[in-house]
Amino acid sequence: MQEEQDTCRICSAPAEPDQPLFYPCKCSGTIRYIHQDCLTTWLAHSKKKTCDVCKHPYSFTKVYSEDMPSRLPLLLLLRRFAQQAAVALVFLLRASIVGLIWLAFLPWATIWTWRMYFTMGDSTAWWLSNRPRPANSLLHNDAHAHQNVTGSNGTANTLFSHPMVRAVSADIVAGQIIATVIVVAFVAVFLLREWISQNARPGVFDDAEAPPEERDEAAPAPAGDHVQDLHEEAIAPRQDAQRWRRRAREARGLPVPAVDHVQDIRAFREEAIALRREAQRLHQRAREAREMPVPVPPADGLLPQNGHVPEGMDIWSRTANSESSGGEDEGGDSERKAKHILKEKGKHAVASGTDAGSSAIYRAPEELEAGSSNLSGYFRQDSPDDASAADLIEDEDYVYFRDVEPFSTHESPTEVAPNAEDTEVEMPGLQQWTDDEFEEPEDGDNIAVVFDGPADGPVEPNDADDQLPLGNDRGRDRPEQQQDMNVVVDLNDNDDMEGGMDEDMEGALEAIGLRGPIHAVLQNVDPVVDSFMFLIARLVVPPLSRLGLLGIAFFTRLLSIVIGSGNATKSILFSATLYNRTIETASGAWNYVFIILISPTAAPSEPASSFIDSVLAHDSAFMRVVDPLFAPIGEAVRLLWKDLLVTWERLALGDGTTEKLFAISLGYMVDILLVALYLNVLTVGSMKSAGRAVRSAVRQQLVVVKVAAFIVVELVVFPLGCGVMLDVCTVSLFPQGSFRSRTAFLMYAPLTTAFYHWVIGTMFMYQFAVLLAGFRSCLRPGALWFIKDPQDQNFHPIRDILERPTLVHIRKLIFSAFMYGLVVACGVATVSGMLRIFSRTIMPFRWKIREPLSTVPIDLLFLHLILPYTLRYFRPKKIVKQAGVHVWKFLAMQLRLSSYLFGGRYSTEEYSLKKWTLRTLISTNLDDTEVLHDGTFRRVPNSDNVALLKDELATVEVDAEGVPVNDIEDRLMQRQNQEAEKAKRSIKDDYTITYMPPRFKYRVITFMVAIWMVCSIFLASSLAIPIIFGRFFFKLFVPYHVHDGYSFIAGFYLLWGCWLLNMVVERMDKHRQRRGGGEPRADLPLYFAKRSLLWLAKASYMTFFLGFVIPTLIAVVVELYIVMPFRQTFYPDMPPRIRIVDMWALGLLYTKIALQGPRVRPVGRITIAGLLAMILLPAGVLWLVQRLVHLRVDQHFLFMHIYPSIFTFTACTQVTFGLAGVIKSWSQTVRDKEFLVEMRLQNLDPEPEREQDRRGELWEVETVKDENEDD
Amino acid sequence: MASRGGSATALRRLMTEYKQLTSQGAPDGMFEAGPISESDFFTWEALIMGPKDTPFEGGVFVAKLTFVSDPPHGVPFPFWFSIEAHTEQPSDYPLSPFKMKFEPPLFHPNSECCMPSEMTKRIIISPPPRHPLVYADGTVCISILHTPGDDPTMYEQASERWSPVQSVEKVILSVISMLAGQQFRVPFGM
Repeated sequence: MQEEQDTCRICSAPAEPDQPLFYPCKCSGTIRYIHQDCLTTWLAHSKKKTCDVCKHPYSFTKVYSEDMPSRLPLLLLLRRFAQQAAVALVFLLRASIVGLIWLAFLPWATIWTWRMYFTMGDSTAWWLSNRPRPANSLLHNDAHAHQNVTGSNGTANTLFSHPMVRAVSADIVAGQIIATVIVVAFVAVFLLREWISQNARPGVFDDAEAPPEERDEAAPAPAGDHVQDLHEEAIAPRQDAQRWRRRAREARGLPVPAVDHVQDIRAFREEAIALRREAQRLHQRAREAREMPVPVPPADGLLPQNGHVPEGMDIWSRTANSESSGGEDEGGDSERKAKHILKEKGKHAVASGTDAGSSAIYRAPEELEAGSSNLSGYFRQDSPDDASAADLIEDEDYVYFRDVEPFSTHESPTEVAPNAEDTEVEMPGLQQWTDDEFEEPEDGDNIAVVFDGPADGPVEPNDADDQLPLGNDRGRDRPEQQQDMNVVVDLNDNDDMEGGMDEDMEGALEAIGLRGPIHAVLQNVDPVVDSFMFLIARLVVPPLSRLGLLGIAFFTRLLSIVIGSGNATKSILFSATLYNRTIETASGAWNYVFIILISPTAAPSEPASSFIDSVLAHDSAFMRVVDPLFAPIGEAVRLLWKDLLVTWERLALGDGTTEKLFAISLGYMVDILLVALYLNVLTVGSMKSAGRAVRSAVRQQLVVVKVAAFIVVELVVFPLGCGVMLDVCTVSLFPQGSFRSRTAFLMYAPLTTAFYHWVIGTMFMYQFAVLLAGFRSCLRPGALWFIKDPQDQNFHPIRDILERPTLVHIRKLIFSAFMYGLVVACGVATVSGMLRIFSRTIMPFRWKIREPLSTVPIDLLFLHLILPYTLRYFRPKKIVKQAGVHVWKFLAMQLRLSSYLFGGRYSTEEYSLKKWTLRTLISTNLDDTEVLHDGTFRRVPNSDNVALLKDELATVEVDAEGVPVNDIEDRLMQRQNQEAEKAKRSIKDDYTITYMPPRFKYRVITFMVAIWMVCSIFLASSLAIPIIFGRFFFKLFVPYHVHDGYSFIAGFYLLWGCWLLNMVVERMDKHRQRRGGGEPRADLPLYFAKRSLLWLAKASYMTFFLGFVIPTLIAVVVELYIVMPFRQTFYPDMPPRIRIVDMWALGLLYTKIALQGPRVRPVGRITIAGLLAMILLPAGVLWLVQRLVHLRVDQHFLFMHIYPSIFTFTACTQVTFGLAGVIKSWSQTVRDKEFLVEMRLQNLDPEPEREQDRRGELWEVETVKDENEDD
Repeated sequence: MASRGGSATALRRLMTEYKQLTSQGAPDGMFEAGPISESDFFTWEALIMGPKDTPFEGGVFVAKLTFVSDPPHGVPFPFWFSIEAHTEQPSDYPLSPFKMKFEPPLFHPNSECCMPSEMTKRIIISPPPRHPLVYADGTVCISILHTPGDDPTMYEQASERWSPVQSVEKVILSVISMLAGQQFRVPFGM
């Protein structure tokens, strides 16, 4: 050890001539020394400033170059300043450009995309409806609207009021709103998704597409095994994926050095174009090939069933059709994999999957050239057992599809392009692809991987875009889906970024274009715009729905025309025998019936009308009987129908908000219907596997939607309902309140009303939950086992939603809605009723919102000064809880429920009296002749989260020792125990034995009623008593009635003050007694009077100066120096007047602000004398000067000139000092920049004299040793 | 592979540590460690003897130490453009810690409640693990192998984090003491 030389603690190298070793901290021994470079690297890396072992802060000294002048030359400073100004200017310019792009251009593009889609939809609608279109279409609307608003005076105004500018700015604002809504919505959806996946039990959310029965479908046992293996392999080996990715990267690194890509890209693009042409040719061939054999269903991904031809299709679509290739890709991929699995069972799925994949894709085009039959042979030879292969593929499909689905749009380009390159280049694309599929979509990292391709060769996305139009119809609904998911994932990154720190901040700055190359902005804006466009295209739904709407309208019109013509013929035929009107009305009725009959089936109306004819012809007698009956009905129906048609058309063609909303919601409904159809109907036969693939994606989205819906119901609808109930229950309490006025308000301001009700409902529900928690804490655990404890740690509401079937959940929701309704109805309605009945004195409430108590803003002061302290010191919870427990215990004892509610045994409760006598009421020791031991014992849950059997009793009847009374109970108990064991809970802790008195049910009900009554009385009195007191109090001072809010507050404080006084007196009494030694003490009243007078004197002194004088003076100073000059300038006629009360109120607020805000320097030094001097001194001086010099000045001179000039002067001085400081520090930075050579690390030199005492002996020994060594 | 470069500092430091380990040997001969091959100094292997009076007594456990710096985390804002987040960079050891992984995975009592197949999911879903432990895939999770910046668990104190003062020897000793038992009370994933 001794001979070892000192080494750096980081790089473990010894000192070198240009790299001396420092010892900057208190560490000693082998970690004492360090190189400066190593240290700075570490500090930069770890962002620390202290030693990570001894926490000693490192100190550096600045070393300036020797030629530094002692004063910096002015020229240098100016040059630096100019430089910095230029930099700042450039930055400003850049910031404004960036801001313009993100805040103006992007929203503008958004709004125009938005309009484009709506206009498209509208035009289609009008075209379909075949009517002249009104002139003011959407596009012109805004311009018109803005032209009207022109009020111009001044040049700037004329510029801004130019209609063009106005229109554009309005557009931009609207666009910003839309963009914000989009972003917020998707962030919300993403967060929800993330939350779900975090909370869901493994496999519930992400494995949604692995229902067991599908696995069973893969009938042959070996195939099933493969599926199993494959599944596991797909999930588990992350590292393998990692390894393969690494290898892929290396492979890519080989042929193309990362730097000079441009050349390659160009070549690449050409090749890609050539390839596309080739692909189109292949497509032709494939089509020919397809038309030769039996008609092939459109599902291209289903290779095995359809034999060889779709294989051709598959290859074609892989190369040429990037958009719709999702399904085919999956098909192809799974096929590859299945093939491979059949080939080499033992080998690792991932690794060989990629191999097989690359080979398949490689060979395929060539073999396609050779002819499709060849290819089929190739395929057949690899899959000996078609059936099992099919099963394999189907089951494989979902594993793959689930993970890759969101990225497939983007993968396709990466994959398409590499096709054109040589093998090495293609490899990465594929491998990357395959290892992506083993990553969960939530995993943010894999985005980076997926998008590697586009980053390397920016040409590829273009290609992909070009190929877009080639996509066949089947792909149309999928891009939307994918886009959806994409954005969700994208926001993932966004979120990550927000979660991070400085680096991420820098990344964000770079992303929005404030850092890094400027053209990156455009690069970044472009995809955002694109994605917005796609998102709005998601809203293609409105135009589409309009299309649908109009389509239906069109259809009904056609129908009515047909039927109408039928009517006409009929009326001609039967005009002789039947009178016209009857027929018409009757056929109107028939029309109605037939529209119902026909429209769903969409059958041609020919047979229908002939049927009508036959009915009318043959049963004319019947018609005659029925006609008078039908006539009015038919008339009504016809009118209704006409009305409906008109409304329908208005909705379809109208331009208002309602119509648009209707269109959009209808569109979504149609969407949902289609999805449902797709999920449930189209999953038979050949559509099966493709359907499953889409289903997995859709189902996941549906889970999100379901959760969102439930959350909305629980957080919005529930409180809203509660609020409405509350309103209904309490409406009678308010003097002006009536249902009519409430309805009127609802009509006038629906959103505000809803918001009020929601807030009230939320507060109520929260209070109710608190109350319930209070009850729970009073009782033994498990007494309320049937209500879930929201504070329970094992309670995952989200899991509940995910795992239980929707219907069960809805039932639960309805039940709890019912419960809450009951609670509101019983609790609140009775309280308000009680207030009405028992206390006619306080009814009705005086509810005058627009009548302030005084001109001084007492409410504001109260809110700011008194309320916070009240909330801090008023803690009624403990007392209320104590009282509550007493009440509960008392009631429980009377009802003999103590054992159940609080646990344990209570011998006095376990019998009932045979005869009620005076003695039995008093005495507790009764013998068996007088009492009857009745009631039972039951085993009941002893924990709120006990595992319960579904649809069975939770309690078991036992005897006092816990043995079940009969076999049935015994079996039930066994089952319960099994359930508990299954849930890994201990039976002992979960169940306990309690005594149940006879007629337990009725007792519980009585108990609850009693509790409820007590609560109601408590609530009502706590509301009424303060109000009564307050009114009484105000009556003493104020001649008129004041708002009951004030009364309540005043009464509350009066009562609270009394309570506090009581406490104080009690405490004083105790204090007095304690202090009393042997000598006689003063009487309590005397003592109290003395003490309280003393306290009162102190308190009033404090209150007077701190609460009144100082605030007033402060406010006066502010008024004189700052406010008054302005006021006098703008309103010269106003007499300079100061109201002390106002000043006091203002001063209090000023003080409050000053104390809350950042520490202002003068606050600490304010004295009354200083303030007075500030107020009086200038005035006094002026007065003196006037007396001496006979100065003739305006009476406003003092206020207009003297105070403000003093203020200005002081302010200027302060600002100058501040500026000087700024300039000084700036010149220091300039000096550092120009002349600083290095920051030299300072050694920590031992200071024996001072350090010795503190560090103790250890240090001493070491220094001694050091000295010895030095010697 | 040998061309992976690596900064000179890291190489020098690793060589010094290796030299020290070979010349002095580990205390009590509890472990041995060194690079797997002379050509790649950034992948080490450690043989750890199971500490006495523990379930591991008598066993020899192989752990792989990789000196590869973390990929930069945080993907920048325009999500479409990725950075090369996953390329392996030359180690900046000792600024960043190394990674340690038992191969084959060691079954520490802390990790036994999670079988490997469930593992990937449990890591994501379960509340973060508390303290030193071995993931079921063998990766060692011990606080002195975490940089002060990233706190995956939010439980560890900054003082027991990685710092360049630590070394392979000290980390392995910590792991051994972890195996020897103080950390059993925090079952994984609870």
